[in-house]
Amino acid sequence: LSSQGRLRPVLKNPFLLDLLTDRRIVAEGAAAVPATEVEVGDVWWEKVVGRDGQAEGRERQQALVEAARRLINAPRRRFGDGGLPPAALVSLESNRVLIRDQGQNVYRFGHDLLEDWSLLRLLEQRRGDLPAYLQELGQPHGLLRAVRLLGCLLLERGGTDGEWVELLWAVERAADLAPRWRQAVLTGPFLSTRLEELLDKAREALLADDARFLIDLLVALRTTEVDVDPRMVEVVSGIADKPEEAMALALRYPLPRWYAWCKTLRWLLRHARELNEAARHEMARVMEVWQERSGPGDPLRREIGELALAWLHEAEDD
Amino acid sequence: MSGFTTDYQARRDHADRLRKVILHSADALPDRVAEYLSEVAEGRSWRAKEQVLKTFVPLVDHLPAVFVDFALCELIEGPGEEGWASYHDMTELGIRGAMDYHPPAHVQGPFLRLLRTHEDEGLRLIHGLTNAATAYWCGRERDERFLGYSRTPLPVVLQFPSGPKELWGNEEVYCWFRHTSVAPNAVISALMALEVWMEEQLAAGRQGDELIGKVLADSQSVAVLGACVAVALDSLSKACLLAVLPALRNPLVWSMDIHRFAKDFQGSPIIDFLGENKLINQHLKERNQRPQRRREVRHLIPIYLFGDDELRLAAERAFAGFGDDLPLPFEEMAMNEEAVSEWRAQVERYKDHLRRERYRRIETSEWVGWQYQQAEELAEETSQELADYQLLNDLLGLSQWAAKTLKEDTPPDVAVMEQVVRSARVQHRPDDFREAIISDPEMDSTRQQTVAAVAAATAARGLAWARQQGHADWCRAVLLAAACSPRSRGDALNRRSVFHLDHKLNAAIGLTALVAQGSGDAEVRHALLGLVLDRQLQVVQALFTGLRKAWGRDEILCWNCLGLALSFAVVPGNTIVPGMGLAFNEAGIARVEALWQGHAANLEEGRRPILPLIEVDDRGFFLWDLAGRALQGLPLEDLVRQPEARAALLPLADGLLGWTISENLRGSDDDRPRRHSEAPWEWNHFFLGWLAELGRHLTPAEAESHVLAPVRATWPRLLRLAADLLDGLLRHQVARLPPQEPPEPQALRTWEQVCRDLLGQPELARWADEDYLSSDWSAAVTMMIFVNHGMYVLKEEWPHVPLFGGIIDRWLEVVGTNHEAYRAFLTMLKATSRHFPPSRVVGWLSLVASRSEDVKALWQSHNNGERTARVLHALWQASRQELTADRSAFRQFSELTDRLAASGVTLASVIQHDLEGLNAG
Repeated sequence: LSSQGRLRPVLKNPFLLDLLTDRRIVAEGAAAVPATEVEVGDVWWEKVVGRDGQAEGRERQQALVEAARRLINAPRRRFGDGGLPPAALVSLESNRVLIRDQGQNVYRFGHDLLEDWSLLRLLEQRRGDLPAYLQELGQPHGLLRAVRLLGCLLLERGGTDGEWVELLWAVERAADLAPRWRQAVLTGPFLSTRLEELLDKAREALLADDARFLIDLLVALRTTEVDVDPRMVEVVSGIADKPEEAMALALRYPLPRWYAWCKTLRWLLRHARELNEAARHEMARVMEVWQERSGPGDPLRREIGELALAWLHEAEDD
Repeated sequence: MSGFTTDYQARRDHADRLRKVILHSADALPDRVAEYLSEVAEGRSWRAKEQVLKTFVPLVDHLPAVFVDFALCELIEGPGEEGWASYHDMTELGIRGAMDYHPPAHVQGPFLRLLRTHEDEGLRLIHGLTNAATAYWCGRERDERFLGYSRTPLPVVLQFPSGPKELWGNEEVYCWFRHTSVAPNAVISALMALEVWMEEQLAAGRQGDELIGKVLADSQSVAVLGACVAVALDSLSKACLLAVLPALRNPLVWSMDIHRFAKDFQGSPIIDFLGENKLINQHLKERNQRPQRRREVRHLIPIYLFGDDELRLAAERAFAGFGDDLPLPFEEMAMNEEAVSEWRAQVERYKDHLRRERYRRIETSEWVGWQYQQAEELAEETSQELADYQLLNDLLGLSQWAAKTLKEDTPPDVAVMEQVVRSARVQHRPDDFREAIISDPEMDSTRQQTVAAVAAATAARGLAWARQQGHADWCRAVLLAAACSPRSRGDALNRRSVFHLDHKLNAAIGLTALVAQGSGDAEVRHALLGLVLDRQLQVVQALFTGLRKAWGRDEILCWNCLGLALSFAVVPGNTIVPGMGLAFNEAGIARVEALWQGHAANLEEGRRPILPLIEVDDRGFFLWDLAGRALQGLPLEDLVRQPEARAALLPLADGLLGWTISENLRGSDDDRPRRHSEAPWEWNHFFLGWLAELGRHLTPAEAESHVLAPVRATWPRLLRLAADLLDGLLRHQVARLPPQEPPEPQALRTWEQVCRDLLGQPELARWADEDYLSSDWSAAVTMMIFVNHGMYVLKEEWPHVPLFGGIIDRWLEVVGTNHEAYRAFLTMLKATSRHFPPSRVVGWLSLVASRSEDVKALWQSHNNGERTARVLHALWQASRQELTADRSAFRQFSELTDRLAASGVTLASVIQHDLEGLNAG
């Protein structure tokens, strides 16, 4: 598996690795090895939880969707078992999907990824009226990653970007919805190991309307797809009065998350000629961070340098 | 903000980013980037050039030679750019970018990185800059346009085995490798980096002789030699000692290094009031602890003389004939026999250090050392010098005691005072203060000034003791003599001199103290009245400050001093020589004489003067700086309680305010618009503060009629007075009490009234969504939320700021969406958010975001977005539970976070991530 480059991000997650070694997930022949979180989640849902469509499996799936629904309003991420089928609960508990608090009829999920994947199933059921549903739930922050996964799933599964764009517009149009939901759907593709392919799929939507989706996606890339540089924290903590001040200072020079940045930049370089001025400006910000924070021998440095030279000459000629 | 400005800024920022990307591509596209650098060098864009110099890391790493070529070309001025007439030549010395590399430090600029990665290129850059600055220095010294005289530098010749080497510069140039030097920051930083790098090289095992030899090879400046000697003083290794030995053959090097040592010994001040350069200053403090800071060349001599045979023999050879051929630093010195003779004597003293018999071996269980003992004949010579130093030292000790005693409120230690007064009396001579004391530091001046300072401190803090001990009459006599002594011409010209040892300053302090303690006889009173007319403002200020406690004892003296000061301050146009500033004509001299006679007569006859009207004709002057110094000492609270005094002060306040307004408005009525620099800023600030204090003691109706209404009537034409009034109200009313006591209700009402009046000005609302505020509005607007010049003006721990919540609400409604105002608001919140409920802070930030016409632009300008996120982050860290419990506040908080994250604020996305960790509900 490790020879397949696109699997590397998945394999770096010990939990996913554990799942992938489950003989129920990797089918005989392994013609279609799951490569993205959505795909692994699908296989997990169908094979591990759903037991390949057996009745018992369906009951387990229903129990998990209900568990996810209860989770949304559950204090300390714990929910009661009232009304849930006991057999399914026992079986999910034995698979470590759910964990029962000792001596109480209270459950929690065995891993936060399983929470997200179960919430995803719940949201999938309400995809048609997602904005209203989020509103009804009180727009809980804990659903944010599941919504991102939903965005990712729509783009990964769909033959086109139609369903993804439709959802994006829906959350954008919902006036009472906080801006984070739009951002979650928009940045869903960043969760995929097929990011570049998904961007290709969404090309038209990204470049349409003065490339406003693309620009927002790039803003999100440099804002959310970054990590604090621990070396920078160390340097600034000597001069900052408080730890939170050190954190704020260090975040001025964040570390890009390699995979998302590399794939997005590769796609951008391919489409650089199609970008309008505003998109170029935003891309230049991304290029600046990449060129500054990556080092000799890292990918795309040459291409980015050449593009900057070309754009600068154009800008100076203007 | 116009679309054009936005577009222009966006395009400029975009081009800057592209340039940065290009420079960071030096590893991947070395040839293309090198080509780009030559295009920039040939082009005219200073932004592009500056960017290359600042983005040095990738260039130093991957294109070192190209970068050094570029830097040398850009940093060194061309021949046509020289101009030796300005002060800037002192620091620039033909090197461009005077303000870059500030504060100078080894970690500034490319130097240290370049030396560590490509030492040949690093040395080429450092030598290029240092040699160029040194050559410029030589040219400047030869050109009398700079300092009004010229001198011809001579080279410092070092006799190396390979042949003689000439270096240029004097003791100041030698010190350029210290951050306190006066030289281009780039050169200082380069030389500081050189010193650090050489230390690193030696620590890594490199041979000192090879290293120093290489470093000195291409240098033409004594500055590089300074760094080499420092490294030898640090390591004390044999190889380094042998390498610098040829330099130590030259007595000029001794002289320069001893000068460097004296500067190091004084300590190297690191000034950074705003804490902007904390990291660099930490480095500097560490560097200042290095051993070589406490050593100089003479400390090396016993190591040579008593070292192993190789060192000893080398030293004997090198020092043979030391100083015989006397090297001079400047050609002109040869004509000055006295200077040559002094220098020769100094070299003889150096030479004495080279004699083995002058050293005494000292041995302890832990170390062995050699102590130098001077030759007897030299010791005698030195002892006379030492006696002078001793006297100076004693005088400085006495004057320090006086300054400290006057500063402290507690009575001085009697035993110490006894000793100090006795010493001062020994120094006192009968004819002291008869002649003018010259202002230059000179032993006799210092002696007399010290005597006056001790007498003043004793009169002010120990008069009862002085009476008992029989020193009171001495104090009085000294102070009177000092008060009546003539002023030197230089001192008289310098009205704004600040010198705590000035004898008349101390006379004013001491004599007013005598009056305040009931010892003010006719002579003392007369002398004090005379000091009102002293040319130095510090004397007048000390006089009125001292009189503050004397109004209850001798109000006739106090009123006459005030009357004389104010009358003198109003100078009619027909009493001065036109075009000569404050040069009195005959009528002027007669007027001053009449004023003096009149007030002196009042004093004798116990009459209060009538305070003058503040009416200044077109050609006349009002000496506001003098008037201000008189007014600052008035005990307003006591005076306003007395009907007679109140009746005199209110018209005075009206007159002064009338003049202030007309003076500030002058220009808007004239054809010639008044420049900002012409407005009496200092007076405005003082006087509006004084008015605010006066207003505190008046009835609300009086305050309205004499203070608030007239100032308000000037808005919006004269908003600068509004900012000063707010500042005054803050200092003298709102925040005048200790932090544990809340502001008085009347102070709050006045503050709110002034703020609401300002916020009600229709002109202000027009600035609501602009990028900046007009210079007129800026100070007043930010002062309303306690921010001035970008800083919160109250103490952060002052807990009463929530009392102003209502006015802050209004402020936000009117001007909160202005980008510059919002920036000040964030400054206020950073300092005070802990005093407000979190829901209120979030509500305010949310209100601004919702009201702003373009919140992205608001957050983009002045880094407002990140600063907003920082306030939210601090709130989240401090009040997580409170925030999550309040649904409405939490909704606003998370929405703000979302919007900031969507606008590209990374810290907001970190908060967002934290919020995701909350349970799903």
